[in-house]
Amino acid sequence: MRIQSEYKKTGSKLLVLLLVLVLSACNKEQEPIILDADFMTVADVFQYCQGSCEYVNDWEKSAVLVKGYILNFNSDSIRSDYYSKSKFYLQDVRNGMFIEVRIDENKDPIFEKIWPADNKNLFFIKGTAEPVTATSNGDCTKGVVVSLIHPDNINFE
Amino acid sequence: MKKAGIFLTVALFSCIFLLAQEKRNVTIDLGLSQTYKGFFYLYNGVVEIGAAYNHQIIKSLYGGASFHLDYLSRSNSSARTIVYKPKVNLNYNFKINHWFCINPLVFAGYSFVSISNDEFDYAETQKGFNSGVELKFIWYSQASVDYYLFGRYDYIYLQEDVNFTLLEYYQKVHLTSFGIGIKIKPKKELRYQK
Repeated sequence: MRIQSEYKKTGSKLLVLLLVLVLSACNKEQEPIILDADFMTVADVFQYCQGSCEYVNDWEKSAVLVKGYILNFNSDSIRSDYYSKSKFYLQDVRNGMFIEVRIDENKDPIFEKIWPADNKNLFFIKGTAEPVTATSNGDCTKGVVVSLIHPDNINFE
Repeated sequence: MKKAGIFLTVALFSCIFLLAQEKRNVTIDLGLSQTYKGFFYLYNGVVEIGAAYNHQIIKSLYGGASFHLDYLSRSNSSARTIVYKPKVNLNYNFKINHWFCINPLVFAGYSFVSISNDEFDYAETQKGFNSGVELKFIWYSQASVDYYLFGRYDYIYLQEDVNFTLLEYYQKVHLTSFGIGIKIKPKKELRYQK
């Protein structure tokens, strides 16, 4: 009986230890991120630069450094579509998330710079995080597009 | 690190097998897995497969070790993720009647998340602590195996890696799986044996 009681105590302790481990993976507050400190992944920019339409978020109109691959850049029809619409999409190949990069000035020099690349080149872009709004079921949320204005602010490897 | 994890799991299984000669069981299961929110939000969960070795601690309380593997993919993409989950667990058999029992289980472990995209020659492995819960509905059979349905929730908290993400949100991985399994009984515990 005594041995059984010891076993029970040990079992209970193990159970408590496991539950503590489960609970120890607790939430931490997300600290503010400086968007132009270093090149961020597309997934990070996509997730961080979101928010409610009711207030101005800290990332809005901030300079942002982002790296990623241009979506479907090996397709000629998509390349011409990007050119005609003065924008392209930068994707995170790890999880498929993508953001829009709008070319607000110097369209021709920027496209001339990126034409030699293909979809396997990693691009590094310095732009501005511009908010865009979307409404769904009456809820207004903000997302981000990156505004690019100068060919010196885009490079690839 | 992945190899070390697999080695540790195999070692743990071997130790438990040697120490627990009686009142032991092995479970093997197969399920459909799914990811929720976070970094893998756009992935389709595909399949989870795994096995566990348990031995009796006292009465209906069992403890053991397991190794599960989740394979996740994205449609129309070459992005793939495999999650390796070695764990230790505690579980309890609540016998309902002669034929059924419910088996709740808590577990903790250390997982390895291997992300790849062949089209871009991209591959990396992230790792972190894993905890979660599981519920099995076991049907006792007359054969050498019992059958069960299971539901499992895995929470993985990935280690900080600024090259992977700067966001706390992406460090948390949520996985669920539902499926079927078999529980292999030791010969001594075979029911209805003549």
